[in-house]
Amino acid sequence: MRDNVSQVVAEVGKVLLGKEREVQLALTCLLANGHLLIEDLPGMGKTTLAHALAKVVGLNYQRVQFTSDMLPADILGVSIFDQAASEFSFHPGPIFSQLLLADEINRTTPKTQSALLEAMEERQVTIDGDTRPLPQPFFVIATQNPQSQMGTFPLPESQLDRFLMCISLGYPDPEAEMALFKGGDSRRLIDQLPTLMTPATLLSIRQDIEKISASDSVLSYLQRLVHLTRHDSQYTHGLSPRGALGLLHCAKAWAYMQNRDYLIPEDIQAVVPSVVTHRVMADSFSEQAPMEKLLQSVDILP
Amino acid sequence: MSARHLSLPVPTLGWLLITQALILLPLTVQLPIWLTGLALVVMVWRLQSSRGRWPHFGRWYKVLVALAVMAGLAATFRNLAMNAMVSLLVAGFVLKLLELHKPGDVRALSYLGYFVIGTQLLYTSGFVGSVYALLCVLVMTVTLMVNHVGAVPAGQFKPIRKVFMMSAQALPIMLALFFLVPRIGSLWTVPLNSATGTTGVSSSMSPGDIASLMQSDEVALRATFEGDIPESRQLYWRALVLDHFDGRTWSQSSIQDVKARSYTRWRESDRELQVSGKRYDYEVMLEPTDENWLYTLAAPASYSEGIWLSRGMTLYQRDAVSQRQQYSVTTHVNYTNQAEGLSELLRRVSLRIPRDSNPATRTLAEQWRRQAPNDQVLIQRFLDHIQADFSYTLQPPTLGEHSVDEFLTQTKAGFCEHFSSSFVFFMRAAGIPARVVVGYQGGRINPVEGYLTVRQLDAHAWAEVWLEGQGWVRVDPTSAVSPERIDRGVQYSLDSADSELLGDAWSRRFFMLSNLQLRLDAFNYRWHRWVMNYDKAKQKAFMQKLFGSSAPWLMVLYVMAAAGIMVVLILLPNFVGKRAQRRPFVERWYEKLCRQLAVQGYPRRSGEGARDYAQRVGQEAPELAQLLAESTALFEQAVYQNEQVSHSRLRLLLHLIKSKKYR
Repeated sequence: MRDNVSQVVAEVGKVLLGKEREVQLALTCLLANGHLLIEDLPGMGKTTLAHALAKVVGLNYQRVQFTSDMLPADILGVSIFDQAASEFSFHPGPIFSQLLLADEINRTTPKTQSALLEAMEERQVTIDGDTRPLPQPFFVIATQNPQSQMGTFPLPESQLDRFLMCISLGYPDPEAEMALFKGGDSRRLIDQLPTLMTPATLLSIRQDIEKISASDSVLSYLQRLVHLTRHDSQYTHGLSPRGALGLLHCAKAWAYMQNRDYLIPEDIQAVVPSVVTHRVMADSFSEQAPMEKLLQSVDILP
Repeated sequence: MSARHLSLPVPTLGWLLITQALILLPLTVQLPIWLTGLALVVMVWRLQSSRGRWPHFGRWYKVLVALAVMAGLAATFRNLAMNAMVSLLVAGFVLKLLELHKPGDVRALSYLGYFVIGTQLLYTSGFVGSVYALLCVLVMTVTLMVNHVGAVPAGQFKPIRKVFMMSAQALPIMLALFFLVPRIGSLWTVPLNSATGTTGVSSSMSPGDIASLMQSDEVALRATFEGDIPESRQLYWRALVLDHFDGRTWSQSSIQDVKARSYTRWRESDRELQVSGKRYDYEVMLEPTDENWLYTLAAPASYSEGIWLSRGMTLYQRDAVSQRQQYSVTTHVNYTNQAEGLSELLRRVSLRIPRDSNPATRTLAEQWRRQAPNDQVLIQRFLDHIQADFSYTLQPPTLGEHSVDEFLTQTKAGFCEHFSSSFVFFMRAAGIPARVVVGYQGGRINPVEGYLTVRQLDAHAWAEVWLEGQGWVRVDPTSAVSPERIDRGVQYSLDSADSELLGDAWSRRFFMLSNLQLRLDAFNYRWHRWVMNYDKAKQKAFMQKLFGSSAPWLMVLYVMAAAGIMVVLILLPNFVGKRAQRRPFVERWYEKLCRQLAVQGYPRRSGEGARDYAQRVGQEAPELAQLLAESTALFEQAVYQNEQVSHSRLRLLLHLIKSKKYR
């Protein structure tokens, strides 16, 4: 199954050129059973990443473009009176899918945002008194534009916490861009991608990740990192226990992807920027330097 | 660079400015006023510029300011006296604020600050001053601590408490060093400023000298007696014998001059001293006078080393008294000196008066001389005469050319200076050898500590006459006019208008204040006696008491033993703590490995993981790659997989890397 994972990375990498690490992180997030937030400008390949990932992992995929006049029902679904059967029948919204790409989530009103985020957390939706579970696995990739742009509703900190990871793709490097120019239409490429997993394999991989062992030493390292975010004034907030658990989970997923069944500090270091930044620095998460400083301030040995 | 990058954390800057203000506060009295103004301006500027309100200066502005200050200092002080040097130091201390960007700058400034605190003690060494300096040191240390720790949210870190803890820990070490480290005398003495050195009686007596001295409330000396303190009428503190009169001013003749050092040719019999009566042993602590004479009661029978006896039976020393000085003396109430006969030289000097001065007095003296059967009768007649219709006042009418004539016949009002001067002149005119003695008379007993405080307002002048068979005898004509002056002190001998002129007029009005002053004085005295004046002799006595011996080698041994014990005590908890929770072998082994690699030029970056490290070093030094890969694998196995690994294998790997066998 591990071969599958590295193959997934390789296949997605064929479409999203030169972004191997971001693909790995996105996959880590998926394996760690968390939701992903991609913060980037339009046209950087966010949709391509989501689409390719859905295709390769074998998830059914829906995309919602968020707008300011959107209502919760537009995502969750609505009950409509069926004249023929003379009863209400439920028309599920796009959220009833295994991979949901919520594009430009900060364009819509807080009301709609919170409907989505609640569903993400609960993994079920309640409409007209009926609780309907969402499909398994359920994975949301939300994108948002940098908040300096006009006409946006920035996600509040409490809702940012719902996303396990926050990454940004960034511009491709020159070689990748050259290859991009030479290559064909990405939509066609995505259609050609093989499906390497089934939802069932994904679930069993998640179980394997749970079993990855973490020694006291590495847990103590994690704890010291978390402690520092709470006691150093350069972070607006300390890392919450949920955030710390998420960090551990991501690190384990990362270790799994590195073909290891135990955790080492490097795993934590690899995922810290994507997991921690948006939780401790609400103001400017483009700035990566504090995370480097955080990692430098804590030694792997006590 | 933006202002944001230049500014220090707010707490650091705040503490720093507070500390600077505290340190400079007592120095402002001594420094030129413009320097104080500059300090204020710079500090306010620093505060405002760090808040982004005021602009930062470019480099050339700073150079300009520094040059201007140097020029200002050069113009203010034309010499290299202490004040100039302290001002320079303070200027540097303040101007450094202009280029304070990094924590390192604050550290440098703090070290300078400790030095500036030291200069406070150049001006004051009293108890309050010392405590204040200590406070400054503590606050400075807090600043250093805040700077070192950096920005920490409030409540997480309590720098004041920490500094007090550290200081408390340092206290025993300080005490041990104070008591045990061999005392070396001062290597050099800093010349006092001439402005501060004008206290105490001077080597000549012109009309008005003593009156101006009496307007000062300053302490001249303090004396601790073993046993009783002599009664007030015995408390004549002799300083100088003035035996030369030029018609207006009394001064020391060349044979008496304790500064000229022509006093070595003694006739042995002249020093002989027959003593009788009660014996007093006492210790005098003299305030700095910048002169070289000392003060004793009557004639000293024995005294500390390094002090000499002059022809006038007064004490002096080689160098000027530039700091508080302590010496002990033994005297007896009654003494006889040179009773056998006066040397010819001394007799001539003691009878000399200017030829043309005060003719009326000379005539009167010769007339009385013929009428008197002996010297005692003549002296008594003079004293009776002035007692009858002379008055004691601090505001005497001014006297003209023939001052003694005018005083004796017309004004008939004056104080000790006038009485002693005219008495001695009259006796000399009548053929009796006589001289003026200046010093202090009386003193106030401090009820708290039981020592005697003599202040400048106790300054006094009296006379000594030489009588056949009795030697030099003290006669105080002032006591004939105003016995209260001698018995109770100068405060009680004056009417209210006069006593307003005395130095302590203000504090006498408030009983509470004067009581407080007495207590403070007592404290200060004790402080000086036991702390500031803890010298070689006192140390020796202390060691003797503590260890029963004061042999140098034993002292060194004790010092070393004490230091050793202290080091052990400091390190022990550390060591014990470490041992108690000893870290796993593999972790210690890995740290050794990292140290070894650092020595070989590949230090592990802070926070770098083992695997990344091995990979990086492996790229930089391929010959190490394999050893390191195995080491790292074993390390990971042990630490992250909780598996047992072979310790001997680990040791071998470390050894291989250490011995550079891989090359």
